[in-house]
Amino acid sequence: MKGLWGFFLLGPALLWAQPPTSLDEVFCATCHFDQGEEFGQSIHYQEGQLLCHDCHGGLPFEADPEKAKGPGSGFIGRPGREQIAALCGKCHTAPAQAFAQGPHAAWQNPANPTCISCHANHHVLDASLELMDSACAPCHQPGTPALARGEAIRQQLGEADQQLRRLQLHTDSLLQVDGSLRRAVPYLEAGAAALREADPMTHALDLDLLAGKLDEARAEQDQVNQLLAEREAGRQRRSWAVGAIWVLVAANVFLLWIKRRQLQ
Amino acid sequence: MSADPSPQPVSRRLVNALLGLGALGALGGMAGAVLAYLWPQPGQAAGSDLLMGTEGPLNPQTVGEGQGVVGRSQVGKVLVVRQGGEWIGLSATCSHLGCTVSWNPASKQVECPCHGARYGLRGEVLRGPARQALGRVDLKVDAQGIHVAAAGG
Amino acid sequence: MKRVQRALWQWLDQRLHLEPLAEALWQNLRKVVPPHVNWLFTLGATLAALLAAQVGTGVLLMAYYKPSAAQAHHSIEHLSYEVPLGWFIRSLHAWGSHLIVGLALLHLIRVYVYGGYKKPRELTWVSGVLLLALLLGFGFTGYLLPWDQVAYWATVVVTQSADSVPLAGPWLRRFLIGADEVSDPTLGRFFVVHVILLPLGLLGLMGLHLLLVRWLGISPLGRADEPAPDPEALRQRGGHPFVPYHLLKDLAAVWVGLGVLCTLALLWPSPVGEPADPLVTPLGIKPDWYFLPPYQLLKYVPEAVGVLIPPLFFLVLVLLPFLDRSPERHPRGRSRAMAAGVLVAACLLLLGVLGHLSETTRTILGTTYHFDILGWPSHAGEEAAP
Repeated sequence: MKGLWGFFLLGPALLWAQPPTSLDEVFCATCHFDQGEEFGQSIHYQEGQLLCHDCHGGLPFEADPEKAKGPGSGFIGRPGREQIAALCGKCHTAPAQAFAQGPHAAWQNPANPTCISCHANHHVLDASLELMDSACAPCHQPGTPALARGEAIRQQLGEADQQLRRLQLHTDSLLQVDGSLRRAVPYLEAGAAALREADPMTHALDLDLLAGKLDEARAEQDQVNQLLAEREAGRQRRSWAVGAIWVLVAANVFLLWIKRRQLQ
Repeated sequence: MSADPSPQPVSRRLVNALLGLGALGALGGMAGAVLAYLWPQPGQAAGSDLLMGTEGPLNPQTVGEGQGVVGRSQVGKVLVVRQGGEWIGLSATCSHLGCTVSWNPASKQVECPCHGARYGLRGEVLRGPARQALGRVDLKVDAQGIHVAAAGG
Repeated sequence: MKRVQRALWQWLDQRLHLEPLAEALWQNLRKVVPPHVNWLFTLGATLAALLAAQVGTGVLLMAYYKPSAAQAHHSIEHLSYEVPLGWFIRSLHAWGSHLIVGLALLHLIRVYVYGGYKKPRELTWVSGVLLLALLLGFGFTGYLLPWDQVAYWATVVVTQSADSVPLAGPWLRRFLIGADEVSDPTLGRFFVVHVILLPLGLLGLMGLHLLLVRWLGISPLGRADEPAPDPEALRQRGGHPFVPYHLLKDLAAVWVGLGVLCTLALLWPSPVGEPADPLVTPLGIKPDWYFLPPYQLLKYVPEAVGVLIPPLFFLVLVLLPFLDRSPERHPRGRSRAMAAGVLVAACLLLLGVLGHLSETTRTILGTTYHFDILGWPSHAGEEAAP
């Protein structure tokens, strides 16, 4: 279950593992101070330990701007619309692939968004379902089929997430008193993993594509529900068994008592 | 049945018989339970530790040299790579946030499509945001398929 | 049917001379039991039945259990989740161990109160106390076998105290554990002790104990320096032959005892704990309830002293018939012995309760208290984070 909360818990905890290069050491930020500031607060810098040149090219530790951005330095500068998806896709392969399959893929159309239209650049916004609430409205009018599609996807993902969280909480509370439910944990983790893999697929904005992953998550949850149902059925059976046993014990103790009376 | 001072042979025999029955019943119940407990169980045998693809056990012959594939198994999702004539098994769950990794034959690295984590063939982290290495999985390849077992204890 | 029985009996008797043995046994079983013998005296038979159940379930568990650090926990998982009734057999065995120790202690108290350890029954008492020690050994070694977190760390804590034995401490600890830390060799030797060494001891001592009880009969309540009352006197005072009168009581108690065992196992089956992780120590690790008094005691006194007190206590217990020479058996004539008994029991109970409460936070009658390692409470209030 670390997946769901790991984003918020693992983040600060992992900071100590390898301290990121201070942006003061990077010469780009000397002039491009504001961008450097913004970037320094982003998860790309703090978790991904990326530096300016990972996206923009160039030599970040070269003091001379001519050499830092000159020929041979690999400097791209401000990436054009056609470069953005490829750049982000170097690491974020799944979302980029899904985006390329979706309705927003044609970068030539200036009305289409690029990665940074929704996720921002330097101070990159954390990818979350909440982002979908505000990202579509600037371009799509309410009531249009395009917006409806986006809302449907948002809703399905939201519901799937909620369902999983509820099941997780329920199982966790039962785990406190019944350790045998630890068998359910791998299924819950697999369900969470399936949902995490569904997230990048939203970029294709295709419900059918998403359906497969959501079904996977649901199948894992069904396994957990089955375990819970088996547990409940088992408890009922055992209660009946206890009743039967005491009937047997009482009958035999009674018989022994009668025998005792007969002997007197 | 209550304060009857003179013993009646019939009811005495009955009581003895019932007591005997009760004891036999208890012993019989125990014997039944023991039998059920010890009864040999069907195939905890070979089948269950095989790596499974989408349609049954993964055929190792479909994995060429330098290629990799991800399958499901009883120890979870496993990435299998055939490299240099050897079979290498790693947990396919990225240690960052749990996405399923895959093998990139071109770069010869294990890659995670969610946030770009990269691992080597020993499971070691080559590039973040992952911090922990991928767990190793012991493999045994034979005619039935690819058998998996978690490495170590 | 009767003719077949007689024929069989005659065949055996001609070869084994069973007739005089059978006659002696029957005479013994028909001995009149003193009238003061009440339901408290059925504890022994119940214990015997529970021990038989324990051996039975133990043998069954061995069919599936694997005594190696790598496989033990997984074999318990397999047993609990996949083997039919495996969870039940395991729960019977786990609850059985608690019931047995509890009833053994009650049985000991009963014998103490009724002065059953006095002459000529000193050996019966000695064998009984040794049996109690065996039972504690069973509990200690068996606890580790599932190789889960609680078991592993409880064993670490208890073996740690062996270190404090003067002179031989560290060597003793390493010998007990079979390595420098609790690990696979520890499991191996605990398994051997639990599964064959202690059972052999149990068989021998129980045989001796039962033989002595039957041979000497249930102790009367009179003085030990007076001759035992004859059967006719006992009968007039209301005593009955053991067979069938008290045997019936014993049987009823056995039925109820086994019923209680099954109920506990059915309603509160033993969960499979987390697999042992030598790198992660869980909070608030404690041994099982019957080890809580010495465990808690060790927190109040220096370890070198604290670790010698339980063996000393056991020594006093074993030697009781030789230390308490008063011939009086009836509790009313032994006020000092009764007072001493109550004091010891109260101390043990107090230590046990303190041990149970220590390092926990509980809400009693609306107020939340935090109990520190020594068991002292302090107000926790709303701001305390558990």
